[in-house]
Amino acid sequence: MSLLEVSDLSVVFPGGRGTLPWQRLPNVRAVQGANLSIRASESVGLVGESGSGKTTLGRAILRLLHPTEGTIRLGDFDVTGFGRRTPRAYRKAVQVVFQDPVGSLNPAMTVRDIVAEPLRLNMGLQGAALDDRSAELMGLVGLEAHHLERYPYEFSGGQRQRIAIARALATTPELLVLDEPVSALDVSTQSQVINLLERLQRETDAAYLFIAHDLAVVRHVCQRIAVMYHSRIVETGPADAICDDPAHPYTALLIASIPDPDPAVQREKTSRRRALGRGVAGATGAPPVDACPFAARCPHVMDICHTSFPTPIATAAGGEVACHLHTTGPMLGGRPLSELDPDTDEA
Amino acid sequence: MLRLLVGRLTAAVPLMFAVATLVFFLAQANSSDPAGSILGLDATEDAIDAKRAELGIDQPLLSQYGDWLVDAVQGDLGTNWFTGEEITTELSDRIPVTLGLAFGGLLLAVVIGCSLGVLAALKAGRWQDRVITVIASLGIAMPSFWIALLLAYYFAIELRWLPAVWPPGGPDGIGEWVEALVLPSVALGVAASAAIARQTRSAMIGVLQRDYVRTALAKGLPVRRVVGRHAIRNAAIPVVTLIGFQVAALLGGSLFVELIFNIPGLGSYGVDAIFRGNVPALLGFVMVIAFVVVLVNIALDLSYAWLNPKVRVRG
Amino acid sequence: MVGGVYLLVVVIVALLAPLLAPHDENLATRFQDILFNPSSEYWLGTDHVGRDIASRLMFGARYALFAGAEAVVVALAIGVPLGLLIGYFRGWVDAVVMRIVETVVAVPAIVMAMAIIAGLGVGLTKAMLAVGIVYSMVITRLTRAEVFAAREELYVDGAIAAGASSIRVMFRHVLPNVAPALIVQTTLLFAQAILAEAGLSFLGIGAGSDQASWGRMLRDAQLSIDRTIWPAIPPGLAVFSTVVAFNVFGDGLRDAFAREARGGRIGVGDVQRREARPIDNEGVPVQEAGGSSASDPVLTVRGLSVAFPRLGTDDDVEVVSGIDLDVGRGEVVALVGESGSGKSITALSILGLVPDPGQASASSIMLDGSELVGMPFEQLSRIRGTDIGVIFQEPFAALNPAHTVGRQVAEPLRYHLGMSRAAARARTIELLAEVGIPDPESRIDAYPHEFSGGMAQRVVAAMALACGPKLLIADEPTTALDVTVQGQLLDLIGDLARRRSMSVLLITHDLGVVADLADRVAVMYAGQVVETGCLEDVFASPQHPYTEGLIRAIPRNVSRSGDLPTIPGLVPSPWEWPDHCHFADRCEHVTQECRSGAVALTPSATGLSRCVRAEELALKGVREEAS
Repeated sequence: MSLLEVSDLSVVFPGGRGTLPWQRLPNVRAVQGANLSIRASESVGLVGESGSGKTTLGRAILRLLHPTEGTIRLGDFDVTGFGRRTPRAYRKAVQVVFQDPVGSLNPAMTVRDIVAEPLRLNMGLQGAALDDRSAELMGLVGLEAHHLERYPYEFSGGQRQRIAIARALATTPELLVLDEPVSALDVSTQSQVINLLERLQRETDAAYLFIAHDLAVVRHVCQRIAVMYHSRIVETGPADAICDDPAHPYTALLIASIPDPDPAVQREKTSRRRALGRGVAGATGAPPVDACPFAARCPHVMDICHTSFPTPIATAAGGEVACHLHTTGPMLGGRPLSELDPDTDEA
Repeated sequence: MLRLLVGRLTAAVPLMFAVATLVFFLAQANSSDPAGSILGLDATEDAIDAKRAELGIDQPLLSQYGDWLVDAVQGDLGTNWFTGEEITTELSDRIPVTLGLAFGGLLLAVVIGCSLGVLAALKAGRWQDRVITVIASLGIAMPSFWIALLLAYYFAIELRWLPAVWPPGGPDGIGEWVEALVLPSVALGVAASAAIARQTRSAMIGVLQRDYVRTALAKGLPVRRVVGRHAIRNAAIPVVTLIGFQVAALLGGSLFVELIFNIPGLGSYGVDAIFRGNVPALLGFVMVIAFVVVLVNIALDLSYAWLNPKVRVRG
Repeated sequence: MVGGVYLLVVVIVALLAPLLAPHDENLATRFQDILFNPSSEYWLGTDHVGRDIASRLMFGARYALFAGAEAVVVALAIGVPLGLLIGYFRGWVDAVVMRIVETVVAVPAIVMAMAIIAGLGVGLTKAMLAVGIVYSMVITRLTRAEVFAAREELYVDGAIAAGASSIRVMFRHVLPNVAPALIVQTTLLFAQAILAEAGLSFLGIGAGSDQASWGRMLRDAQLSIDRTIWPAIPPGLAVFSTVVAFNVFGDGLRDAFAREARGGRIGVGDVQRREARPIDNEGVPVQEAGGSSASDPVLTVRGLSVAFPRLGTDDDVEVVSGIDLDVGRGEVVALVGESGSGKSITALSILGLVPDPGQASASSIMLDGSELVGMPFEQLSRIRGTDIGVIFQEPFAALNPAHTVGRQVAEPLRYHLGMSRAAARARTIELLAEVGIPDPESRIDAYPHEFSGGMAQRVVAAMALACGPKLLIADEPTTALDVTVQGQLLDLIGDLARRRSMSVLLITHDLGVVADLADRVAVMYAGQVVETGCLEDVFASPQHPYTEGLIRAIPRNVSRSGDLPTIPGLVPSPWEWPDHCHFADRCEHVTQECRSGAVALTPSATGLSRCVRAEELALKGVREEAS
């Protein structure tokens, strides 16, 4: 039984005003037809580049914006069915850690105020109980109780992220949404925070939705990974399977593009990368509704890719993939891409 | 660009409409009876009633409003209650005078303000900057009418270099126009130039810290070129916004300056209208001023588009 | 805070006016004492009906402060709640209110106030009420704008996710951060209100004839202007100086609230000559083991240091300390380090572009035989433009948004190489094609914002290559780009380097990028170079513990369990650097010797290393898996 179930979710932002007062710019389709499930205590990664829609999907789950279509269920709650106000219980159950350690903490509030806020609002804690829990949270993330009296600007980036994590864990949430939590940190700090997050997950049993663009980071923290490209989820599956033997061409391109510090490995990757990406541009413009958004860059593109978005099918590894290579042409049927013969494009 | 112009003009129409409505009902809120003050204290009841009918103020308020609006759209701003003249005619005589004054002040303000602002930014932290900043801080604090008084006194009355009063019948030829407008324009322009200097300095400093300035230097371009070609155009944008506000402020300030120098412009017309409770004249005055401000702002919006290519492409 | 003190004086005078004023506010002591000059009895003389100017001036202070306060209170009472509401909730209420605001603002403030006074009636209180209403529009607009900005902040999202209601967010989160701007604006508006009162009273529709406001005094002074200017001077000065005081006070507040960036002067610090420090190899250039660079260096840097003045003290603090660097012809050298290592400043110093107030010094910076240290600015500019090309991190920031792409690429061609417009345009199209921009003939006239990030960075590359430089400095060129676009840009840089026999100094924090592109590596930590060598050697068997730690801390695309290896602690700030090894406090191999004194860069098995234990330690490289 899954903790979080996202079904057929779409988020469309209205376009802004044009030059003439009655003009409207076209709508922005940030997320289309997304399906995602997270089990209790599971750690799922959501990977994509800029414009993929991963942040938007995270914000929809957090009820920071309202989806245009589709449903989100958390346990017994139909999240999309909430009216204007979000129930306390939901806020208690779902918390967030953002990317930007500078902007995510209110500069005018002390650390104590920041960490105590969710406790006050959602659990009604006051006085000694509040103080105890606040100090406990500080310890949990490797900071000291006396840090509570300081202001955010007095801390380094890594420490601020710890404060953000402390705040997120205050109400012992069932699901923690982490939106690029380590992207803005230095390498040495990054590994410290990643280790912290892994440890906390073991200790608190919270489920994670780990949103990031760095597949290597996600692989360390997550058991399952979903890959997004330009508003669509194109592949999901166990972390190891996705990272070692992907079923979708975009995932393969992503993996090949990640630079590896081993020069020998990198040389090999460079030549693979050159073969896997056509054209020079990234994902630009509006994502198509009835086509695969990766068609313009895909080395295996077929005619059908321009006219319809593929129906997802199950992969051999236990996930899903949405790619015409599996349902038409070579008919991979859920097997990894590596089974394609490079010369003939057949399975 | 053309689309931008059409767009702005279309948006301006409801704005003018809103201004008209607001001011009409505001002006009517005063309960005093104009008919009585026009005719004088010894007017009879009948005479007052007749006058009221003549002026049209015995009609319900909304129909007065409707009538006025219909006429105004066609360019007829009604009749001056006190002089009996056509308001449109009266105003059109005065418009060039005030515009000349305001334009003179603006020219002065922009030229002096921008130059000083750029200089201060280039020498930020050094003595030139400090001096300019202090002068600018003082300049924005000066009431324009005080400066006008002082200038009028010293240059016109004491030294007699320039005329203290408006030439009767209007100035004749460019020379007389300039002579007549110099002192009032200076009085008007001082505060504006100080404000523009401050904004230019701050915008320029902001731009000089930008990466593309660093890139331009990295391309080996000389400082003067970097400032002139790269920095100024981008720094101009906030300054243009400020100039928009300053135009409105200058038109407001012209009220005082016109009074002091006895200039027959829009300002003195408006003040007179308020004192006498001359509602249609007041309305006409406000509408003309609002119209000028709106036009100027549209012109500035268009210059934005020229300065900032991102604006052009949208929509 | 001079302004504050002056204002205090004004307030005191205003409050104590009846006690301080020697004469009555409105009645002349003797009717015939008209237009007297200042004397011991009448400190500032008398006006045209014999009233003492000094006394009236003091009473005037009361009216000024009262007028300002009334207008400001009205403005805030209407403007702040309104601005908060429409800024936060937006929707149709926002549209309606903003139309009203625009309407009122379309008419000059004085005129609008006059129109309102026409409705309300004349008199000081009503006049300032009118002014307050007009000002409230300004406050509404300002508050709304600030709320918009604050709403976009992530901490607002965090609060909402934590369960805060809209009211709570508005008052507890947004308002405290909006307050500083509001306070500053209020002070300035107070000043404007005093000016407005003076103006309206001058016109006769503000203070009545029985109220000695400064504006009224000026109105009276005008009546006798043909006889003497004196009565106009004190009230004018009073208004002027009070307004100045408010403005100065407000500016002071603004500076106190915001940390306004200091440097405004265009960053043209040149590199000063100084002698090599004794610790660094006694001034003799170091030959690397297997010195591939020694043969034909394009760039040699010796003893480069950069210092900045420390805020609040008189000292300077070094952010880059004694850098030695070599780049050979056609070679790609990567300068690797995290933030705080000083790598970007190092690059800027080589260009002679250290931002003011930093100061760079070196014993030598040679570019293909020319000594750059001590070179006059114009000559250095020329070399910068033609022999060195630069790619910075943020492509859109590096391009001037107001110029077309073609114009920016052509600029060095026309300025340095003297090409005609037509020739430069043709060459620009070639360059754009060379960097891989499709359809260059039409893209040449596009503006930077019309390109995607990767494309814009290629334009920057074209600009850098325009004059055929010998050295390309690329400062984090791919950091701002998506990873699938990143690889393509690196390929481009590599191709260009090979094709043009151009050297590249690549600055980055990403070891994967280094592995992709570099021939040799220099690792920087806390302002110093800690290791150099060729790529394979440094990554496979590092000679410095920091390099080892860096390599091992990077998450790689391999299945692993257990914790990631980390480097404990934080990078020290420049003023915390010890005199001994900068890495000592975080190093797992540290000994007593490491802390005994400064460590020099010495030859190691594979290159150079700044570690006293380099020879004895067998450090793990990129191919070895820990546990």
